Amino acid sequence: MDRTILFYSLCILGIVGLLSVPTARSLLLGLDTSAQKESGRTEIVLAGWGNTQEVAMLNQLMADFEAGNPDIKVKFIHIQQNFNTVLLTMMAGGRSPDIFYVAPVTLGNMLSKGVLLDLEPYLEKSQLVGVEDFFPQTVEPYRWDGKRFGQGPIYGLCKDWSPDFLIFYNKNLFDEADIPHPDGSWTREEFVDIAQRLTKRDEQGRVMQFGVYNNANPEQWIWQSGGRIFSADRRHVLLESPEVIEALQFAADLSTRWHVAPGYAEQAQSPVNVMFETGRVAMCFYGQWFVPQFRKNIKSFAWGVTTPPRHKVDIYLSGGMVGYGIYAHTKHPQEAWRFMEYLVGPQGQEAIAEIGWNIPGRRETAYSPIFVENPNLDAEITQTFLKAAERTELFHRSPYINPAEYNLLFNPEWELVMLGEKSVPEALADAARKINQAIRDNMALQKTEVDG
Amino acid sequence: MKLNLREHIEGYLFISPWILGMVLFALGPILASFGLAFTRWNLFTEPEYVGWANFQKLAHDPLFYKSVFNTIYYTIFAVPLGLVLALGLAMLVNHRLRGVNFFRTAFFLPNVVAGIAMLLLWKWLFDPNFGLINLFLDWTGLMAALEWISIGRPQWISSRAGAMPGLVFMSIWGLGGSMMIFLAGLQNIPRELIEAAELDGAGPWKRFRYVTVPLLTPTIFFLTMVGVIGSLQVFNQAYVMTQGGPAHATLFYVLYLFQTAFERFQMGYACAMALVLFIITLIVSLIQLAMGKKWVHYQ
Repeated sequence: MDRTILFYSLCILGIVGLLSVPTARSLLLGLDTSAQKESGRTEIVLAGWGNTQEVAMLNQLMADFEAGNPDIKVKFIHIQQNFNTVLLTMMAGGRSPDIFYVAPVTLGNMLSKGVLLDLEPYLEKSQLVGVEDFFPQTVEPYRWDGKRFGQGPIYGLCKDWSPDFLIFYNKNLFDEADIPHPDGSWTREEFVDIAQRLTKRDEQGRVMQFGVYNNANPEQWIWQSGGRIFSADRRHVLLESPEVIEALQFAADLSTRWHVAPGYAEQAQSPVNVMFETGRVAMCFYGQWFVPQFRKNIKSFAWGVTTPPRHKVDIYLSGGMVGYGIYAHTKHPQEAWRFMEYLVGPQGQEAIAEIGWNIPGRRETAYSPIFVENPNLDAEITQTFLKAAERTELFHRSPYINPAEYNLLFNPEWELVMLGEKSVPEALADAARKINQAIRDNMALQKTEVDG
Repeated sequence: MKLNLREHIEGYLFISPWILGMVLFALGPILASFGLAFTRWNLFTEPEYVGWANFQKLAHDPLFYKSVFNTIYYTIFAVPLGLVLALGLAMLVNHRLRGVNFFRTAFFLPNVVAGIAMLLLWKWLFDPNFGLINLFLDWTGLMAALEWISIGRPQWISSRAGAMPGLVFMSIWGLGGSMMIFLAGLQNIPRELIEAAELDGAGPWKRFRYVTVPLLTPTIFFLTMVGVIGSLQVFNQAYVMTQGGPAHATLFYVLYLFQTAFERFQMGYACAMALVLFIITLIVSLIQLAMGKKWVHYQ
């Protein structure tokens, strides 16, 4: 008796289970298509992230756009965390947004999956937007011909960007230690010396105040040393090159040799910005986009911005640029482009300049009074950023390995360096071996033609 | 002990919300993942059938072994420790004392604190220099003792050696749930039995060993099963606090599976890992069930 009931119950459950999958799927998809054609307007979905200010600005822009384009309805999907993973999962599930934020760091991965629309044909016809309107550095990473960046079709346009690793310094702590405010002409040696004088310990030897928090992306140090992480065709990492070893040795030494930056254990304490805001670290690295937050949060001391210490190559790096791209398989490419054109055109860019936040991608807008004299920003600091921007390059990764995978392979090796359990050259050699293997595996999976 | 038809129907009705949710939302993906385990799939291209290749790759993957080792290490220490402490706490709050409800609530409270916020808090507690745990060791002089036996200052989750013990230690935080179940089990024990044992001259230890524990074996059995299955799937701690680091010291099985699926987008390989975990869990549970017949006493 008991067993029979159990058996039949399980059978029924099994059948319901098998039936429910296609039913649920058709239900969901059915709902989806009915939403697309609501009242004869085409719905365009934009996915992105951003703080409340940016979302408010977007809502305003969307309303303005809809007023001028009554046949299009735009909707914003806010994905604050794990954007890339969520987006790729949405695409895999057949529910991709039409327009989405594309950052150079994740661009390569998007290209390899063929999910980005070539914008060249649309740009050729556009009255509103031309590639030449933008800072040329911001255009280069969006061009990819299948072998090299900087040439071929264009897959995105910049929303905003900034040199992301300029030094924010606490003027009061410099004054207390009797150190003149930096003007950006310092060398790495002078920088370490100053950081040492700004590092304070208690009687037990615990660091109460760090000279610097090295939250600069390693790329900043590497490009300044004349190195690159990826080969030009993005099919190898060059982590074993002398330039990369020199740069990362310097980065490691800040923590493990000179002890002027938090080590592995100390990094757990607080986010960098909180440590800076509370005067527990004298210098840290950020982009223009952090200025409003520090202006709001820091009341007890004066602070300034300068460029990182000079080294072999006079260059600054940007990693946090954000732009827009269009989904390659969107059902409404024309409508999506019209909205994107509006977003990267003068009106959309002026709206970004008006928030007083990151540097707009359109050069003219970036140098316009709306941005340069923005009351939310500090005019002097904005000038420092704009000046550095002219010497700033964007680092971008490889189509054959996504940043998350790269980090999964690189970080454990780097953690051993930071714990003092492995030398920099050894760790980089091991990381290079693993990452190059992963690239080969991925290329085999993507069936990339390997030439030569 | 035989259930009639009515009790069967009632039983299934009570668990029907769970069953419906499981069938509607989880069963399809679960079945699909069994099939995908035999494919190579990056979520975008069509899945490509590769036979047993994923499992062969798994057999040569050092991180697979590392994550299995870490997960078993955690299970072996966290589950028994949790059981013993939860039982101890349950016995403490099983007394009819004034204010006992306050303590029951206090011990259970950590279970209702939101998971991620709690984990970030623990990250602070573990800070080697300024965390409360090490400061407590400093104040009580225990740190000096640790240094004297040349263990040195525990670096907790900031070191390879300390990360696992740290996470095991942290697992104690959530034992309020087990405590409540033990408490229910303790209150189910008929007072007559304890009193009879007392009259027969059994001291507190003998009463505990020969009356309480045997009658609690169904509870202990249930908590062990659930605890082991839960430990095999441990994820949040490592994902939020350590990202599996430093240098894979806290790379748990499910964390590795998640990274493989959603950060490296090797969905087929991850499904193979899920299938292996399913089989491991099944085997461990069957062994426990078989062994349970020997030591669990149902009234």
